[in-house]
Parts: sequence; C-alpha cells; structure tokens
Amino acid sequence: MALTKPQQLNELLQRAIDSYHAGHQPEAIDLLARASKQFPKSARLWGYLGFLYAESGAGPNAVKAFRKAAQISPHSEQASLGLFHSLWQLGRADDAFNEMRRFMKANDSPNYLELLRDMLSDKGRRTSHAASLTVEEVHEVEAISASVGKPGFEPIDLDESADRLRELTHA
Amino acid sequence: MRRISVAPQAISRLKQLPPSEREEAVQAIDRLLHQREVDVSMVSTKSAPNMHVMHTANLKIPFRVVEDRLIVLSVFRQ
Repeated sequence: MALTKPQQLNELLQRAIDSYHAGHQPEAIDLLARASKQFPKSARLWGYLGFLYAESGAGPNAVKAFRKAAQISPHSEQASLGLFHSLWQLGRADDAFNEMRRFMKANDSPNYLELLRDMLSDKGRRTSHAASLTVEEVHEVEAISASVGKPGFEPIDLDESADRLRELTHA
Repeated sequence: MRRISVAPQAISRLKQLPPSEREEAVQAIDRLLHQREVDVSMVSTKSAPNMHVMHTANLKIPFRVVEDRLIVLSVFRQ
C-alpha cells in the first residue's frame, strides 16, 4: 500500500535521523535537503536540517533552515531557539535578539527567560564551542534527556553543596 | 542558589572517572550550584532544544534546565 504524504515525511525524517546517528552526517543533510523540495512546508524537516547544518558547522545554511522552520511555525520555540543560536554563533547578535523579541512577544518561553537571566548575570560567562559534543555523546544525552521526569528516572538532588555527589561517587 | 539534580547516568559516568577528574566534575557542579563563573556553551539538539554544556579543563558536562531545576545529564571527557 502506498504511503500517505505524512507517512512519507516521517519515513524520510527517520532515515535521516538513523543516518545521522550512524555517523553519516553528510548523507543525512543531503537526504533532508532533497526532501525539502518535496516537503517545503514542513517545519519539522527544516528544523532537523537546521540542526544538522549547525552540527556540521554550516552556520549560514543553519540560519536559512531554522528561519524557514520559524516562518512556517512561528510559535515553535524549538525553531526560534535554533535560529537564535545559529545567528549567535555567526556573531549576528542583533539579529539573534530580534528573533528572541519576535518570539517572546507572542509566546511564553521559559527557555529564553533562563537564557536572558544567565546572560544578564555577571556570575555567568558564555562562550561559543561549536559542535562541542560528538555525535555519540549527543545521542546519549538526548536519550537521557528524554527520560527526565519519566518513571524510573531517579536523579540525585543536591541541596546546598555538591558534597553528597562527592560521597556517592568516591570509592 | 540553583536547584540541581544529577541524573543516574551522570553518577555512573562519574564513578568511571579517575579520582582527579571526578573531583574536577564535582567542583564544577558545585560552582554551577552556587552560580559562580563557569564556562558554558549552548547546544540545541532535536529533543533538547536548550541544552547547555559546561566545560572544564578535562571534561564536558551537559545539562538542561527543566522548569526551575537544572539537571546534569552526563559527564564526558574532553
């Protein structure tokens, strides 16, 4: 039986994700770039493409892809944050803050608020480390991140110091 | 002071580190807890759009902010 359009899109995205996780980043980008002609109005597809471009250091392409995602889905925080970060990485701070303003005008955004709090704090310092995690590390962290708050995820809560962590991990 | 939780996977990773790096990680997390100066970059991933990575001399410590809590997800060597 022929796949419906949404099924075709899901299948393509899954293939790209699998390819990326297998370490074949250029193939994943190529697959999504070609698919973007078939599904030009899919914010998800543009978002994934933006992420892959950003991961591969293709900043200007990441900006274009995330901008498409944000235009198609203006209330998507993920698309907006992707655009913000890729503009920021290119040193386009004014454009990045314009995107932040656009998004926050119409949406609640705890992630942007946290970002602003840290930026305004003189106790924090942010630097740019493009692609600071390897593909395998991203994969692992995403899996952990997805389990947060679900049954079986039992984190250690630190109160006033990391002493508890020291006790738990020192042999 | 921040509220910080450490994922069980991060605990396992910490236990595998040599003592000096384990202590380096604990001290870095303590700095994060007390909002002292740390070297942090942001990394957007498909399921964690606002993930941060703290960098120390030898380690990368990814974490996420979930509501009012910061969750340390893992610990990797640089």
